[in-house]
Amino acid sequence: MNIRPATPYDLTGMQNTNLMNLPENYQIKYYLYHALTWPQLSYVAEDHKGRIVGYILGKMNDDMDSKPGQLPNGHVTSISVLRSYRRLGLAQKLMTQSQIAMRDTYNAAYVSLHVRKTNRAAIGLYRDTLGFEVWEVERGYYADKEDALGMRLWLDQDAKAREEAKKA
Amino acid sequence: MPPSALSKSRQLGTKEMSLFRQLLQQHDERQYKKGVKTADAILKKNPEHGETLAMKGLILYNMGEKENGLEYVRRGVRLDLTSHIVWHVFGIIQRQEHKYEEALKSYTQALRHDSENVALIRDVCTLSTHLRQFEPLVEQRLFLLKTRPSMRTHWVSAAVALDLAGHHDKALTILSDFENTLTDLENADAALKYEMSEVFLYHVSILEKIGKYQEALELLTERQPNICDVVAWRESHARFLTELNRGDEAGDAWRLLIQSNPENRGYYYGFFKTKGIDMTQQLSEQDKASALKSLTLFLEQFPKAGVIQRLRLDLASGESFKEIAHEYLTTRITKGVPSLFVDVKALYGDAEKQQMLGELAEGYRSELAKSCKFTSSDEKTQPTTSYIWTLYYLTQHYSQVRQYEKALEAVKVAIEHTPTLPELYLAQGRTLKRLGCQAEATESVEIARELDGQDRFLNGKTAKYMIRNGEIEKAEQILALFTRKAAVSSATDLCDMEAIWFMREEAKAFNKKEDYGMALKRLHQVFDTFKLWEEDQYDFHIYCLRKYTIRSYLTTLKLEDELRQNKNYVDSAIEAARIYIKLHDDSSLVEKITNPQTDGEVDKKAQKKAKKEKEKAAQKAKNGKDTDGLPVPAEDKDPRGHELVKTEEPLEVAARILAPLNDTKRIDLHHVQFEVAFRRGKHAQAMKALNSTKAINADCRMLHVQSLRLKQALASDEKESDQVKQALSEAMDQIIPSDANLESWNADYLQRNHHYPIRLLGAAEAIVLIRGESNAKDAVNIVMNVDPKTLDPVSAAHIKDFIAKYDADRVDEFRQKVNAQFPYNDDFKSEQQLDEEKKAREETRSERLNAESDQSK
Repeated sequence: MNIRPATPYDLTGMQNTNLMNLPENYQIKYYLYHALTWPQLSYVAEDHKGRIVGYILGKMNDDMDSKPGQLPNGHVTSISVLRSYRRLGLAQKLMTQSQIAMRDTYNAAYVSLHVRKTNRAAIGLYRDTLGFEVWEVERGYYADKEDALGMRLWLDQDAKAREEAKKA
Repeated sequence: MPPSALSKSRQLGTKEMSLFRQLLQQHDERQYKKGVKTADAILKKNPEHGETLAMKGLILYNMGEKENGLEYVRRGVRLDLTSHIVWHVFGIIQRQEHKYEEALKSYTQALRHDSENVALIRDVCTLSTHLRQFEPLVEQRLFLLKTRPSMRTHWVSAAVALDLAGHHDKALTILSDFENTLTDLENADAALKYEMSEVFLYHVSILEKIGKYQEALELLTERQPNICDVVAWRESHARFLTELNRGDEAGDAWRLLIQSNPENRGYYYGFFKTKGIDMTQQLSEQDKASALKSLTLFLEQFPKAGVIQRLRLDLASGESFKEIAHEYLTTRITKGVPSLFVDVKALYGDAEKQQMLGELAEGYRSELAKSCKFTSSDEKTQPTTSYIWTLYYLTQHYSQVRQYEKALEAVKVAIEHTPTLPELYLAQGRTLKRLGCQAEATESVEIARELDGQDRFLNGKTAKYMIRNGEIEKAEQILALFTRKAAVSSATDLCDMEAIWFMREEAKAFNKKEDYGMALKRLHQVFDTFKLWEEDQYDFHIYCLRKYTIRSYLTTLKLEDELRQNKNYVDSAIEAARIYIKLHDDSSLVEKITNPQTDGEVDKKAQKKAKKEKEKAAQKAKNGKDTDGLPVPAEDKDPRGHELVKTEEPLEVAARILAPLNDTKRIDLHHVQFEVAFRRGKHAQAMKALNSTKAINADCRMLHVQSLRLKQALASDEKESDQVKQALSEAMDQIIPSDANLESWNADYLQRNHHYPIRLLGAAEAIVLIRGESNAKDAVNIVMNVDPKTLDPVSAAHIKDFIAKYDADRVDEFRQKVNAQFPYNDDFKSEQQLDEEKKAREETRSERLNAESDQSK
């Protein structure tokens, strides 16, 4: 499968993949918002015919104003690979590309994501395959009040050490 | 504005003047209730003060009193036609109503009376961009730049306007001038650095667009330290070096990209281009060998890169292909990669490769069964899953090469071996679907779904199969397992979430059931979604110029311009037009659809469902928000699409839907364009559609029949002027010569095309037109004699419909004939057979469920 930066032309394909796979869905405008704010951070995997079979929708956390002193950090809004294209390591490959872009373009110190506390399959993917660790629990994060695990993957190890010291 | 220009009605007393200023402020701060009070205080003394009336109207509109508010605004405009405020207000409301053209007119009026109002000009710019009126846009942008050159965004916005209008050189000059005003970028803050990085890359992209690669490369190199988007920089750099034929440097540039992302196919294509090898074209043996050699080197460096391995399969042939393919297949079978077949399917265009892949997989199958190895010389034994995934591959292989029995046999062996792997049932389902055995296929994917109820992909697949099998209600029930619980129904949620696949599938299924109301409802939901996508861009006209993400923004504008060419849109438009034609042709349909005489039970069930949904919606409306905190959508006033089918002028609606489509390559679009134009008596348009069809396929069945119909209609046409008639008849002469004997013209067509069943049907249809319906049995004879070996299910279905229309007694005879050819296809089975199969399925299902429940005990 071909892995390349997403363009606005890929957004409907990404939306379709998302609708096929995941319970959290978004309208095109939300995808557009990502593509037109952080054009470097989303990637797609496409098959021979150019059909989108996997994607990562990435952004930078832009709550710097509300949390002064926060390090620049990327956030995975959504990542998914069609069931029929699993076991190719696509999720990891997509994640790696997005991370590189977060670091190179925006100086991200880490990548964060949220996952439902009960979504064992996804937690497994993020932790075991993609190298994320649980950083914090956010109570009642989802619309239905379920807790979210805030997971992080550090790109800057020095920054990680400093943040961990602060936390302790 | 000079006071002398004030019209009498606009003059206010000192107190009211200050109230009016207050009113403007209250509007800006959204203090709507206070604003209405303030407006009323002014109006008490000056009841005809246009600007106050307009402001009051705007506030009322924003408070939700749209009709009332609009009335105030209109009165305000009438009373003070030279006020920029009233026009501005009118424009704002028209814009909110999505009437962009009218809004732009109002804004332009406002601008005439207040030509230097920057806020107004900015709004005009947004509207002009939205409406793609680039020349006026340029003028306004240049004015803004001249007025406020200190604002960075004005420079870039002016460049974008010039670029959009095609004045690339001027855009480049402005960008260069702008860039030169900025110094010390190295020490700028992160936000400014990023913005300028985007500006430089935008600048470079214009140079690329007009082919100035050398300049583009120079700028790119000069600005490298200022670029944040590393990938874009490297990709541009590699492209420009390639275009400039700087072979070795270009090769290195692509290598650098490959290093950072070895899974990007385009990077290898780019690399090969620097060696004079164009991977998108047919390659010489020498080029293939040289590319293969490079790929082998790359593979040593990136042994895990799937793209490299896959590219080698494209290029290799003969024994070397077999060797590489063996490696490729076996590693993926061992891993259990479900997409393996789909991934190599493109190689099946090459007969030799197809055969080798089949032989390899068959070899694995027999050796794995015997010794748990892929080949007898292997040392390593395989887990049993390798055997299953080999059978899975073979199922798809045989399905692809149309050896369906073998495909079904392979998957059956696999399922007996491992009955718990969902993919096997999907593969079985897909094979059955291809055979037209939709009911059995649906059952198969349903089993897959039941094996992993937590997987939305399996859920959606099954629902899709159910919808295709006509089980719409059941499909919506299972879809609800994954849609928002707070939504009125799964269908509402999927439509809100813009799930085009769902709308398309349901429209087709309802259409097949002749529930044209629901079919049109879903099709209009497709249209509405595209309209929404078109409107989505509006906010970004301002946003992107503030964020400086110009390159992606311009791509988005292009994409929006091409939105109506999207296949889903065109398919839906054609389908809708066909339904409107049916409604026009048979006026009894409306009654049948809106007052269905269904049997009691089904009706009750549907009523119950509708009632439940209504209650759910009503409950939410009471709360004002649904449980997810989202605002409640307006009540669905036409839940069954009845209002849509009741249209007084179905043909006009169809014509409006088709009007924006201009994909000349779609023959089905020309067919339906003809049907609509013909019925509307627009013979010139119909002629145009025929010529478009002819350009694609001169022997097309529809062209044959439609041209005959038009010729006959022209003969009795009394509406058109002689001049038009003359032109039309000359055009028709190019398709059916005026001196032709129609019988022999049709006989020639038949002779030429007798081995195409669908064209046989065309000849038969022409006979009905030439000899009249009383002689239709002659025509039926022709299609009855079709050679079954030449038939395909789609043509057979059309022929069946034709026979049903003219000689219903013979339908069953034809059905049997097709059934013998396509024994699996549900459309040609007898009622009895379908019933028996259904019973058998139900029995198997209950046996399986019993066995499962025994096991769980």
